[in-house]
Order: sequence, then C-alpha cells, then structure tokens
Amino acid sequence: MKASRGNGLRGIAVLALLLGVACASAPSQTVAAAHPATQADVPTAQNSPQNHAPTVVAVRIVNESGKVLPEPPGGLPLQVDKPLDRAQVAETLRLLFRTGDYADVRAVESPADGGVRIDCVVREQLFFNRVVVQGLTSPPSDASAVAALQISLGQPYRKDVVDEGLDRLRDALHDEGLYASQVSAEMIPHQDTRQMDLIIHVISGPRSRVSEVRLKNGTEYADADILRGFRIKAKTTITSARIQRGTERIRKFLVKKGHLNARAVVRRGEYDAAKNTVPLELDVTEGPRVKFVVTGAKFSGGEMKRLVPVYQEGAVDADLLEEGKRNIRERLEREGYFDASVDYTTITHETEQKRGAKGAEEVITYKIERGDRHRLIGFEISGNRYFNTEVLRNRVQVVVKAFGVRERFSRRLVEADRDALQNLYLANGFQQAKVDTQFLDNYRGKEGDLFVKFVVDEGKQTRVASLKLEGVHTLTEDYLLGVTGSTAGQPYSEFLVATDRDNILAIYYNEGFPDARFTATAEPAHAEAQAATPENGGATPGANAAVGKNGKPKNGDGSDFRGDLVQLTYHIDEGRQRRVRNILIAGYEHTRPGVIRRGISVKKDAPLREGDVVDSQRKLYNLGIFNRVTIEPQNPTGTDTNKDVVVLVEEAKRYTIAYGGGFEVQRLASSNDPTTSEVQAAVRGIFEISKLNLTGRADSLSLKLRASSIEDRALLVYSDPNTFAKPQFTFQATAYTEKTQDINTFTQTRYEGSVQLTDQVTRLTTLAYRYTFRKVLVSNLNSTVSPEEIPLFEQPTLVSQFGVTWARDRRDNPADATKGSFNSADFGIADTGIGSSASFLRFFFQNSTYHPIARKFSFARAVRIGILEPYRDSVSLTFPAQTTPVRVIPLPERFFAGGGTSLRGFALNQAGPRDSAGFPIGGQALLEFHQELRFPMRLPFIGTALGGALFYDGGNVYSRVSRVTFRSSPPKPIFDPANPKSCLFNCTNELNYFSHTVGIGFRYSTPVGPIRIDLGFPINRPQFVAPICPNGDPSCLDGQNGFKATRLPGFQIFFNLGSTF
Amino acid sequence: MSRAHTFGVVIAVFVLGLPAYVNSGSPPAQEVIDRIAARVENDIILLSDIRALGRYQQLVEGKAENDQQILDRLIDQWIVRNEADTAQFPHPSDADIAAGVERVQKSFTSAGEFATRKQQIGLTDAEIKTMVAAQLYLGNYLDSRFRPSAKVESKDVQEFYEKAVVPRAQERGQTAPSLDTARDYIHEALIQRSINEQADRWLDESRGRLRVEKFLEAGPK
Repeated sequence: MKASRGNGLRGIAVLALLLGVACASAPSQTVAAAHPATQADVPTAQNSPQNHAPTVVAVRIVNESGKVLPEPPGGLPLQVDKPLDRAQVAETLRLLFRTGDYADVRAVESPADGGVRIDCVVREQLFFNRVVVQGLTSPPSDASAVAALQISLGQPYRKDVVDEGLDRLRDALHDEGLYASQVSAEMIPHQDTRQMDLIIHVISGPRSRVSEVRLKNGTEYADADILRGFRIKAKTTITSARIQRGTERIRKFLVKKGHLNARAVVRRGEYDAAKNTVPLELDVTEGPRVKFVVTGAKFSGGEMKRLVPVYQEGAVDADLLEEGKRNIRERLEREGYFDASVDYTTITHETEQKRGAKGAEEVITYKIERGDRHRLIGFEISGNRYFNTEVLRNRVQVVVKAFGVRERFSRRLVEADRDALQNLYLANGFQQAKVDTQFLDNYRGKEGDLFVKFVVDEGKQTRVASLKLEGVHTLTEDYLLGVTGSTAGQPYSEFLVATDRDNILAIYYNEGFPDARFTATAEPAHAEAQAATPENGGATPGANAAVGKNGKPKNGDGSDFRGDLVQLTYHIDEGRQRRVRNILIAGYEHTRPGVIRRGISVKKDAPLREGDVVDSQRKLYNLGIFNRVTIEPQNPTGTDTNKDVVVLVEEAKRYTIAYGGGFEVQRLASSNDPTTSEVQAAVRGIFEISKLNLTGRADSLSLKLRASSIEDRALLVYSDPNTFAKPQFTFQATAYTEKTQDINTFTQTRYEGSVQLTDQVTRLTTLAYRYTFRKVLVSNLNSTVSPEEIPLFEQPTLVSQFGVTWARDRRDNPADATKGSFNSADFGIADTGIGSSASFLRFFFQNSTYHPIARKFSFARAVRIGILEPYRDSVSLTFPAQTTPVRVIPLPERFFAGGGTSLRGFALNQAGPRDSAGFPIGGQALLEFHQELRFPMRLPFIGTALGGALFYDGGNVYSRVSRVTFRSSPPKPIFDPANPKSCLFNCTNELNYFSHTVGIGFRYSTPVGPIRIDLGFPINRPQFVAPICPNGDPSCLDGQNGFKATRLPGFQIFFNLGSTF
Repeated sequence: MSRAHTFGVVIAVFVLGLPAYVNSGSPPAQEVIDRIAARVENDIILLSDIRALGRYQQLVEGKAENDQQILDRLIDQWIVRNEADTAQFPHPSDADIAAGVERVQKSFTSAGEFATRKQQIGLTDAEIKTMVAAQLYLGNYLDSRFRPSAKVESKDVQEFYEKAVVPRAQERGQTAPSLDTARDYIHEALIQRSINEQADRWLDESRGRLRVEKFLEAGPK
C-alpha cells in the first residue's frame, strides 16, 4: 500500500519541468475557474480543425521563387479532397524537412475554388563542397586547418556550422602560436548543384613568441637541467610541436633517471597582443624513482624493459606490472620453465634527493621461481571424431622443436589452442563440446620431457532443419542464399549465424541499403522436419568431416554425432535503397573532367553501392595525380533516398624534383685478365624532375639523370596511363642514353628511343607492343680483341626493332614470391630494311613457379630460354670470328649470362662464348634453369627476419641455338707439347657446354624485396684459352707471349636487392 | 454644378474607387498556417507544436506560457525523447495512457465541464491522448534514469517533517499528521525533488551541447 502511494507520485515533478504543467492528476477545476481561457490566448472551438475545416483542393511544394518542385517518392501525408487537418500539415512539414533537401519549410494556405490550396514553401538546402584554406603560414598545414574545421563533404550547410568551425580553427592557430591571426570565411554557393564552396581566408600574422618560461620544478634536478632539456626560452617562437618536443625531452630525461611517472606539462598564460608574446608555465613533477629487482632469474636491463612495459608507456600502474608478470612467465615457459611462478611486490620509501629535499623510491621486485626445465616433445589430440586430427593440428600454435624451427610453447599458448579447438567445435554446431588439456611431465620416464594432450569431448551436433528468409523484397532469396552457410542440414551455431548476418548485410550495404537490419531466430524443429533434412536427418558433412560408407556422416567410431535440429529464420528489414541522382565532380584544376569521370564506377540512377565508391577511389588514386579523393553522398542524413554523389579531388603538386647522391660499387670482370674480377667504385649523382598531369590526362613527363664514372644515364619518359580513354591501356615513350662499362670487353654508349603500348588484358595478363630504335657505339675495345675483329665491333650498331611481350603474373608477391607462377614471352624483329644494322629475330621466354612448403619453407624454380636468329643478309657468329665484313648480330644485342640474377657461378655477364683473348662476347642462345629451396632461419637478435636458400643454377649462353648442349664440359684446349704456349686444338673459346652451379644464400626480408647474399660454387668450370700476360702489363694481352689454358674462379659472391627470379 | 466641381467629384470617385478596383483584382489572401519554430540538431519544432502544448497547458493549468517559454520546454522534451529513443525505452501501454487521460478528465468537476473546456480551447481527444502519452514516456524515462541515484535518508525525511510539515500545519492551525503516516509521501516527494534537480542539471548540460536555431520572434505570442 505504501509503495502504491509512492508510485502515484512518480513523474509528477518532471512534468512541470517538461510541460509546464504542475500535475496532470491534480484536480484543476478550481484552476480552470481561476484562469478562464481568453479568446485571444488560444484557438476557439470555431478554430478547431474538426469544425468547418475547408477542403484541400491542391498541395504543392514550391520554392521561394514560386517554382513548383516534385514531391518526395513516397508522397505527402496531406491529402487532396479531404478536410484540412493541421496535424497532417505538421506531419507534411516534418517529412519535407527530414528529406534533408530543404533548409526551411512553411505551410501557406490560399483560398481556391472549392476549398484551399496548401503550398509548402521551401528554401532549398545547400551542402558543403570544397573547403579551401588560403593564406596560412604552416604550421598548421592546410590539411590540418581544414581538419580543424570539422566540416564534411556533403554535410548540410549551416552558418553556425561555419562559425563553430572557425572557432576551432582559431584555437588550432593559437596552438601553433598564431595568436595574431585573422580568420574569415567566404561562401560561394552553386545553386545549380546545391553546393557551397567554403574559402577560409587566413591572415596568419607574425608567430607569437615566448615572453618567459616560468618553471615549477618539482624534481630533485636543477632548474638549469630541466630548462636545458626544454630548449624553449624567451623569444622562442611558439609551435605546438616545439612545446611537445620540449616536454617529451624533459620526460625522457626523467624516465632515464628512473622516474617513470614523471610529468612535464605546459600551461600557456595570457596573450599579450601589444608584444605578441605568451608566457609559458612549465610544471614538472618527477614522481618516485623506480627501481627493478629480479630475484630467481637473470634478465638484462634491456630485456626487462621489453618484458615490463612500464618504460614504453612511461608510467607505472598495476596493469602494466601485471602484464610484465605475464610476459616474464611466458618468456620462462618458452624456455622450458613450464612450472615457473612470477610475482611482484612494490615498496616505496623515502630517499634523500640531490637538493636536500625528501624524495621517494619505488622498488618493484619480481620474485621468480623457475622450477624444473621441461622440453616439449610432442602433443596429441584425442577424442575427435567429426574433424580429423590434421585439421585440428593446423589450429594448434604450439610447435615442437624441429630442424630450423624453434619450439613454441607456453601455458598461455596451450590455453589459446584449447580455446581455438573448442571454438571450432562450437562454430560447427557442437554446443556442448569441451576440450581439456593434460600435461604429462617426465613423459615415459624421461626427466623434463613434457607431453601435452588435448582431449576432445564433442557431444552432439545441432543442425539446421530449415532456413527461412523473411523481409526480402528487393534482392532475390537465391542471391542471399549464395552467401548463407546455415542452410538445411548444415551445422547450427551462433558463429555461423553471425557470419551469415555479416555476409547478408554486406550485400545489402553494397546494394545501397545502409539501413538494412538483420535478426535471426532459431526454434526447435518438429519431428517432421527431422525427417525432411538431407539424408533423412544427416548433416551435410563439412569438407573435413568424417563420412560413413553410405555417405551419411559418422564419427570415427561409427557412432552418429547428429543431435537436435532447429528451424532458423532470418528476418531482414531492408530499409530504403539509396540511389544515385547525380554525380558531381569538384576540386580539379588541371585535370580534364572526363579523366575523373572515367575513373568513377558509381553510376547515375543506379543503387549507391559502397563497393563502387571504394572502386572509384582506388581507380582515381591509381592515376597518381591526386593527393586525396573523397566520395560522399550529399545530404547523408536526409531521408531522401535519391542522393547526389560528390566526388571531390585534391590534385597533387605537379612538379616533383628529386636529387641525391651515393656511392656505387660494382664487381666487374677484370679488363686485363679474363679469369679475374675487379671492384670498381664511383660516386654517383642522381637528379630527377617530373611533371605530373602534363596535359590534364593523368599523363606525366619525367627526366632522370644518373652519373658516375661507371655508368651515366639520361632518361626522358612520357607516360599516359589512360590511353584511348581506356584504363587498361598505357602508352609510354622513352628517350634514353646510357654509357656503361658493365661488359668488360668494351664500353658502350647507347642512344635509344622507344614507344610502347601496354594492354592490361586481365588482372593477371599483360601484353606490350613496342618499337625500339637503338644506336650503340662501342669504344674502349679491350686490347685483347683480335685486331681483325676491331673494325666489326667499332661500327655503330643500329637496332630498329618491333616487339611484343606477353606476361602472366600469378605470384602472391612479385617482390618476393612464395606462391604462384610467372610466365613471359617476348618476340622481336629487327631488320636492315627498317634501319637495323643486322636482320634478326629475337625470342625470349621465362617460366617461374613458386611452391610453398609447410612452415615457411618454399621451393622456387625458373627456366629461361632465349634465341637470336639472324636472317636474310645477316649471319650467325662463327668461332673463330670471320675476318671479312659480315652482318652479325651486334654485340650489345646478344644474350649474356652470369650474375646475381642469372647464373650465379659466373661474375656479371661472364658466361658463354669468349673471344680469342678469353673475354665474353655473348651468344645467340640462352638456356637457364634455376632451383631454389628457401627456408626460415632463427638467429639471435635477428629473429626470423633472416632466411636461407640452397640453390642450383644450370645452363649457359651458347654461340647459336644449334649449339645448345647439356654436355658438362666443352672440348679442352690442347697445347703443343713442344711449345706449351701454343694452342693447337679446341682453341676457339666457343665454350658451348651446360654449366652447373650450387650455392647457398641468405635473405633478409624488406618491404621492397629481400636483400640477398648468394655464394655460388660452379661445379664444372671449363678450360679456355687466354693470352699469357705478366701481371700489370696490359699491353701484352694480344698473345705475343703466347697462350695458356685457364679457368674462371671457383667461387662467386653476390649482394643483391630483390629476388633472383 | 460647376465644371470644376464636377471634375473634383470625378477625381474623388476615381481616387476613392481605385483601391476597390485594385483589391478586386488582387490574388486571394494567403495565410501561413504552420512553420518551423526551431531547428534542433537535424530535427524541427513547429509552431503547431507550440500551439498544441499551449492549449494543453491552458486545459490543465488554466493558462499558457508564452511561445518562447513553451519552445524551451519543447526543446527540453526533444532532448529527453532523443535519449529515451536511443535507449529504446519502452513506450507507455494503451492502458496507462487511458488511465492518464482519465486522470486529466477527473481533474474537472464533471465530464461536461471537461468537454466544454476542450471545445473552448480547441483540443481534440487525440491531441490530449498524444500529450498524455508524451507525459508518461518522458516522465517515466527521467524517473528511471535518475531515481536510482536519488538517495533519501531517514534523517532527511525526519528533517523535512520537522522543518516543513509540522510548521505548515501549525500555521494553518491544523494538527500535523504523524511522521509514520507521512513518511512515504515525504520520502517520495524528496525523491521527486532529487530527480527534478538531477534532470534540471542534465538538461542544462545537454542544452549547451545542442545545436539549436530558433526562428520564433521574441516576446509573447
């Protein structure tokens, strides 16, 4: 009774607050008498809508200039030919406002024949478009200033939003010391697109300076020490970054001294406008000095800092100390101290400080009892019947020590594995599934050996008897069922339902239904449903589930795991579909709008799909000419489902200049001894200038210069990534000159011009068509080239060549592939008829495949085949070389092999035929085979970043395709026994044989590919003929001292960035 | 009649008749029957909302506040409704609403009196029902939100009894009810006071965070 009396009073007080009505339940007859209504105050009964309401004969939406606008798609609540209802009028105004299309609405009644006409007079809403900040002196940057405004693209324009944004911008400017700045906003409306550009004019003024730094020193250190760290003094200009750096330096200084709770805070004083200065108050507190003591185990100071995260966080609290405790225990467990116990205590006591004051010291002691060391020798999973053991083992993170693999084991890991296994069962409908762990210590009597058992109790599987979709109107049920896993006969679990929900909602969101909702209900199925399921009640087994001989699901022991059935219903509330009314493009200055339009996947009158928006952004960013691409619907919160979509781009700076320098080292074959190599070093300079978006078509022109004493290069490139207005075509024109010494027989100067059209046929396949004109001048011919050959080589080489390349790339990571394949084929034709100095066909093919093996092991292999075939007026190479003038394939156009990305038993370009002086001259055929087994490594300090590789390279460069052979060695040169310096037979150095190289490599992973060190050991080094020459006498290389048989070095080392193939 | 006099009469007739002529050709008079009184975040409060609450105040209290005051109350209502909707607070049942309407009706001397007042003021049954439903929804929400933190001790009840109830009874020459009799009422009244204070503070804070644009002219309607 008491309670009811109390309840009777409930809510009375708040009514007065909200309604201005003291108490609805209080008798008010006296009140009514005391305050009689007056005709002036309230509408009379005659005004009541129920009495004498005129008939509405027309309802219109008109703008302020009288133009009649279309009604919203769902119509208006206010109806024609019915009495005027004020409630409907109000509802109509609300509905119109909520569309978001109108900033103001009012209902105007006009007499009309037979009743009244109601005009909803609207003021159309404008929406924020481009926001530009002008005149700002950085910092803050323009982007930061725009961000401070907090105005979003497509947001409804309101003056107060601008004012609030300006206030925030002023605050941001003050933070950066721009106290004297002035900010104003200029609005530029575009009535046709209902957009409002906002130009923020900033007069930055001089940056304020510090008038003084008032230090409140709560530390034991001298003021001078603190202020030295702060590095801000009177007259220093103020920026937030400078102040933050200053306080951070002080904090780090104190943390380094052991005060982990140290704080340095700056408070700004009153701004003095006359002097444009601000005083700073620096408040520094040190907190207690923290000291760590570890008992029972040894850890280095650095390791303790990694394990106990108080140093990283710069604070000491119970959570961080607990985390440290867990980390230490896990670290010990990983070392095999599985019984380790860790605890900590903190004691704070007073200490004497440097300046005589009393301070505090907090001693944190981690007490460790390691216990006996164990070794995980294995683990076992038992009791599983539905999933086979291999499936479950793949879910387990615990790793038993093996070759190249370090043990991974801790209590936390075992618990995580147990949970993972249990969750797998739960997700597959085994709602009572349990997984227990058992630790068998001193396993099989061997002290320290530990064996872990995961014991699975599966229970019965709950399955779906039927699935019903409700509320699907716009999309088809079949479409949704395509992404639904919980269909009849399948396991039932909350996890699977959640997955279905995510998949279904993702489809709806992507089809322009941002308000789509999903709920699911599951009810026990009746007996008939049981009978109606596939296989008369059998679940369709998962791919990894065990299946009985009759196709019905069975456990390993033959028992049936089928349990309850549920009837599942997915209730979908689609909401309304957003569609694209118009696409508005803004923000471009140099770019042609067509280029932007072609990059937009969002289509007019189509649903506003999230996937299209993301795809548009990706395509526009890929043009490489925009810093930012924002795509938003205008009027995002309005109920109007037809949206104008705004694409706002921010063009990147068009000119890019880069310059740099470096030190270049190349290991080249020796210029005076064909069997040795020499290191050449040079200072390198680089200069690059590019102009992006050259003609507004996202094209670019760039000039790259590189100069050193080993190599000079100038490259002018024009690139148009959207040739023919098709994104799959890229046109590139290149002018190029290069002077290089990487072939030690000669120095080549190359002038080249090429045009290439690349067609990205599919995501994986590329076709490139090109024409190349190349002029190569050979100079500094090695004196070992026989005098008869010199005129041939010194003739300028002209190559005029058409070519086509096909490539198909299925690698997972082109920089360092572990899976997939790469194929390419290149065909070219050079003809004297089109200006070439020789006529020949060129063919090159490469096939690489990559095969992952368990635990980061992988195997990679590649084959490269190259063929050059002279025709018409050109002839193949002969050994010895012909002395009469003939057209041969020019030296620089021939195939060369050897080096870090080729045959690793040879130095750069050192494989294949050689001239009479023993120097490589390239060949007309190339055959390379590569095999590489890549494996993980674990080393101290480096961890797993370093990998290893065992490799085999086979093949060679051959004088011509008909000379390709798998013979392991060429015929040995035979010298005259009477004159050992005279070669009698096999002296041509044609060296057609198949080389074999084995080696070992080390790989250090980087984002741009591995850094490689490869050590190659050629197995079958052939003998070849070289002139006898005393050391250091280059003039004798023509053979005047006779010839000798020699071999290339038996070991090569390469340093490279990027994968071999 | 002189020519001059006749001319003067003609001019007078023309001048005086002109407005009538102009009036006869002008478009029919237009009347704004509803418009936006305030914009609260992305929502609006209409002039008709102000009028409706004013009429309800007139019915229950016998007088209505001015438009500005009513608008402020509607803004407060918006804040509470927005919070309650976000929290998916349950709406009052039809029975609760009917009971609330009945309470309003019973506050009048007779059903006839109630009907007459309604008609005089221009309130429909539907409008009253809507108002009562809003009262219950908003009131219940505030009650549920702030009641848990409204703590009233026994000594507060006793103090209120001694300092307010007893002196007032004495002033009126009446015998004050015993503390035990009045305890529950005093306890609830103190809780209501606490809820009121908390709600007031919360609304003050919320108003400060709200983006409100008022389009209502200042001063009484």
